[in-house]
Parts: sequence; C-alpha cells; structure tokens
Amino acid sequence: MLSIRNLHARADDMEILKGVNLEIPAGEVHALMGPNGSGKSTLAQIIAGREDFKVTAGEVRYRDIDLLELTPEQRAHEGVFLAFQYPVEIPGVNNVYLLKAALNAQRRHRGETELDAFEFLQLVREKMQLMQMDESFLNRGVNEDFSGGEKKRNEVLQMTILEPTLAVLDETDSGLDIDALKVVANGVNSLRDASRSMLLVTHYQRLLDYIEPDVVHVLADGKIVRSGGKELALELEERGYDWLQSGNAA
Amino acid sequence: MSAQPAIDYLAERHAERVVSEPDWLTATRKTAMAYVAERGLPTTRYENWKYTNLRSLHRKQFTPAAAVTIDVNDVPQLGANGFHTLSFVNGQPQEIHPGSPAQLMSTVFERQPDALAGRLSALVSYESHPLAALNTAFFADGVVIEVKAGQHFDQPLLLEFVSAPAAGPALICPRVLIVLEANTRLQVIERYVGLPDSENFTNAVTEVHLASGAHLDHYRLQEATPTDTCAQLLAVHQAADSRLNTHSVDTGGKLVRNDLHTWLCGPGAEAHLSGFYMAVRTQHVDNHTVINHNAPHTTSREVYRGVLADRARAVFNGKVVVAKDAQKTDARQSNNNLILSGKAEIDTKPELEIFANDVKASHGATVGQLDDEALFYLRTRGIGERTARALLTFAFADEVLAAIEIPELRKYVEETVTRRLPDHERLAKLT
Repeated sequence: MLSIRNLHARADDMEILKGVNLEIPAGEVHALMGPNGSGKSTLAQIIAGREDFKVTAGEVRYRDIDLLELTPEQRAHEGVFLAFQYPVEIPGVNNVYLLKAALNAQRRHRGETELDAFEFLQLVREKMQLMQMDESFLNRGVNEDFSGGEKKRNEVLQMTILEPTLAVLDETDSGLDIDALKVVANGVNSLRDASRSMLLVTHYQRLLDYIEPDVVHVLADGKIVRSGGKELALELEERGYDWLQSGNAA
Repeated sequence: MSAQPAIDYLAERHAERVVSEPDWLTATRKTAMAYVAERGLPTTRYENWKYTNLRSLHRKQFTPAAAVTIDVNDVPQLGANGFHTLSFVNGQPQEIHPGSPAQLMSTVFERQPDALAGRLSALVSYESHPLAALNTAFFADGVVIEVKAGQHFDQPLLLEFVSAPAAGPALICPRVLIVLEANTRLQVIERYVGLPDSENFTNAVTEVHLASGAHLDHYRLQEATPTDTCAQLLAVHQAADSRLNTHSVDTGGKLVRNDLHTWLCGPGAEAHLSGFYMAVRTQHVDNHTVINHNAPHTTSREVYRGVLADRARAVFNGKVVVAKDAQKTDARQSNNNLILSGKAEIDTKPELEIFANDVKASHGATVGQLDDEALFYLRTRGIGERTARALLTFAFADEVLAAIEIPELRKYVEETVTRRLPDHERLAKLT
C-alpha cells in the first residue's frame, strides 16, 4: 500500500504541497480531484521520482519502502508507474524498443528471465488488441507525431504490459473522446486486482463512471481538504470546489 | 613558413618509388609541389581553417607511405561479403578482384597514358583546398571507377584505406576518380580505418563526375585510430538530373578535416548530404561543405549531426551558394549537435550566398543537451539513467544513420556508434 504522511514540497521558491496525507490500501482505486494549481500533478510526479521538486518534510512509503530514497528507475522496479499527463515524444526510440527495454529491466530486477522475442511480441499484441491500437504503431518513435488520444492510449498500453503494483494516472482522461475514454478505462480496469493500488488524477467525474473509485480525495492549495466515496465526485461536478475551500464547510 | 625542406625530402622519397608516369601527370604534380612548397600547410589565418590547427603536423617528419605487411585479420571486418572490395594498406594497393568497377590508376596509366589527362585534378582548386595540392603532389597509386552508359553494378564498391604503424609517421594520399556516365548508378563506400599505434596522416582526394541522370551514393566511413590525422576532399561535378547522396560518418581519428564540395551544374540536379560525427576525449572533427547551385531548378538537402563528449571539439561550416541564374533553387541545411560535457565545443556556421531572387533556402543549427523530460520518462519506465542517456544519444545519432541505405553498412555503423556509448552492453542486447 501507499502511505503519504505530511508531505511538503516546493518548486523553486513556491511551496506547492503543504502537508499531504494519503493512504491507498492494496486493491483500492483512489481518485484525486481538485482545482487547477492545487498540486495534483506535483504529487503524481513526486511519487514517480521527479527531481525538480524539493521535498521539505514528510514521507512517501510504499510497501514499507521509503520511495523518496529511490531513483525513478528503482521506483519503477518496485512496481511504481506514472501515466504522464503530457507523454514525452522521443524521436528515434521506437515503441517496441522502449517496451522491451522497460519490461526486461523490470524482469531482471525481479530475478525473472527476460522474455524471448516471440513471447514478448505475443504479449504486446495481446495488449494492443485490448487497447485497440494498430500494429504499425510499434515501429514508430515513442509518442512521435501521436495525437493526444494516441499518447494517452500508449501510456495505458505500457501500463498493461508492465503491470505495476502502484499506478498513478495523471489526467489520462483529458483530451479523450468518449470511445477512447472507454478503451482507456477498459485497459485500466483490466489491471484492477487485490494486490494493486491506483491513484487517478482527474478533473472530470466522467472518468469515474468507467473506472469506479473506492475513495475520492480533493486536493486544494496543497492539502487534502476532503475525502469521501464516489458520490463526492458527483457532488463536486454539481457544486464545484469553492464550497470546500471557503471555510471547510461540512 | 617555408615548407621547402620537408617538401624536398618528400619529393625525393616519392621519386624513388614512382617508376614511370605520363608527362601530363608529372607536370600536374610539379605545379602542386610548387604550391605546397610556397604555401605549406594551411594555417588558422586562412578563413576556412580558423578553427582547425594543423600545427601538430609541422613537428613530424613524414615519409611517403611505404609498403608494410599487416595481418588483414587485424582490421575489423565490415562484414561485407556482398561488396566489391579493394584495399590499400598505407597507400599500397592489395589484390584487385575481377568484376569490380574499380581499376588501379597505375594500370590505367600503363595502358592508356592520356585517358585521365584533363580529368584528374579538374575539380581541384588548391586555393580553396590547399591539402589537395599535397595529395596531388604525392599520391602513389589511386583508383579509377568508371561506369559506362548501360553498365550495371548491383553490389556496392568498398574502398578500404588502412593506416598501419610504419617506421615513422607516414603521409598517405589516397586518390580516387569516379566517373558515372549518363543514367548509371553506383554505390561506393570509402572506409578509412587504422591499426593501433599508427601516427599517420591520411590526406585523401576523391573527384566525382556525374553525367546527366547519373546517381551516386557515396559513403565515407572514418574510423581511424585516435592517434591518426585524416583529411579528405570530396569534389563533385553534377550535370542535369544527376543525384548525389553522401553519407559521412566520423568516429575515429585525432584530428579530422573533411571538405565536401559539389557543383550543381544542370537543371534537376540534386545533392543530399548527410553526416554524423562523434568525438570524445580530445578528438577534433571539422566538416566544411560547399554546395554551388549553378543551374536553375536544383535541389540540395544537408543534414549533419554531431555528438561531443569530454573535451572534444567539432566544426561545421556549411556554405550554400546560389548563382544569379539558378532560379527555383531549393536548398535546406541543418546541423544539430548534442553536447554531453561542459568542456566539449562546437563551432557551427551556416553560410548562404544567394544571387538569384526566386529561391527557397533555409538553414538551422542547434547545440543542446539531452532532453531532461525524455530522460525522466525513460527512467520512470525502469530504464537506468546511464542506459537512458545512451539510448537517447543513440536515437539522436540514428536519425541520420537511418539514411544509410545499405543494410549491412547501416548495421555496422550503428554498432560502431553504439560501442562508443556508456552502458552499451545493455543497448546492444536490444537492437
């Protein structure tokens, strides 16, 4: 499980996270909502190991490992995965190469044998079918000239292949039409199981119609100001965030 | 500074070796020798030599390359059974295989003494390319490649110039003349490779004449030892609708200077230049290219990329000249550099001289580091930092190397580049 306690973080001179507390037990899916600039993406990136933010207090533990002590790649080896809000285009590195390098790096870490070319392709094809992606994509550069929707699909494809135990999805739903949203949700749901924790960062209740969260949290001004069941998302959709920020009503 | 004593010494040694050659060539050599004797090697006071200093060569007493015996197995194989191959070791030709489009110059001089008169050296101006004078004065034997109209060579021709340790520093002057008649096509690979501990100066000149509709793919692969000095001039004359594709790859050498000069002299002529250089430690690689658009409706594309580490230094100077009558010229140029160390240095300079008024011409140069975003992305996928850096560096290079159309050669070059990256053992497994 993921356990974040009193996390404070800053970028340059600005304090962004001001004491975040968050627990995600194994097997649960939590949604993280909140107004723009509240620190949602910062939190997602700190979990993955982004070094641009300075953690000034608090801790992030996952399965009793102090994540903040690990490099991004070590975190990945421990089962952490971040689906990027803005997936990076990497011309010259093709998708199949990245998938293979990523999968084998993690298998080596876990002491498993690397997949041979046949097994690997079989796995990739199966997952691509799930994500309704065309095979031609394999030999294209990573995210190179992909549409916004294709990039998001690609993030979830990587996730279904790497099978992380802690997945953080940063606005994976933004920019998707309804059909693409269903495909992406389907991919995410295929990974739900009792050992896996997920954190969905989103602005829209819509995603949660397809991926039902166990808990919804609201992050505002660097703190979790409210947590509740999935009905909280519906309430936010109706009332916005102001009622939460102004004086911590209820 | 007078270079006379060194030139006299070289000339004497040279004369001992050349038995007989046509009078016109002797005259050509004399002019070249006089030029070298008067001007010496180019200095940094020459505009085109501002960033490349040949001072280290002055301190050495070069002898003309003499025959040395080497074990061919010491030369890393290009793995090319499907190529016509002709090798030279320190300027001395090895056996030539039947069916090859190449002939030795000495053979041509013997059989038809005047066949190359007016052709050889026709494209070389000593003022623009002073080292070509040194080559002309002292080249021993060379290669003539002629493809007559209707002739067909499917296999690439591989010319290997091996630099091997000799008694002292040797001056090696490879000389190549390529003539493609109308509508013929040829792939030529010039490979410059060295054996450890040589301290030679390889100073090559290749002249190319492309008749109308002719198509040459020219590959230049330089992987000399880090103690060798290498220079080459590739000079090309292009008639209408001819096409020149060049691929230049430099991974070796201590001090490297490449000059590439093409003249687009007929409508429809196209030149596509691509280059990659990778320099580490104190290597110095200088690429000077000149494209002369002398006719309307001519096209040029130029893409050079470099990776520099440690204290390495590179120079890129890309000149494009569009003559007054060369309307509808379309010229694009780019030079991108990846700097992996704060102490590496690149001097990149595009030069456009446009005298026509209806042309498309663009250029761009970049100097940068690895993309932090991409690095973080790869690391979140479990790829270690060193491997991720190597992977991104390779990807940067491969965008140029992918233009190599001969699969075995592309593989060889990619492997050569990969071997020079940190953590390459991890990468190799994945390709």
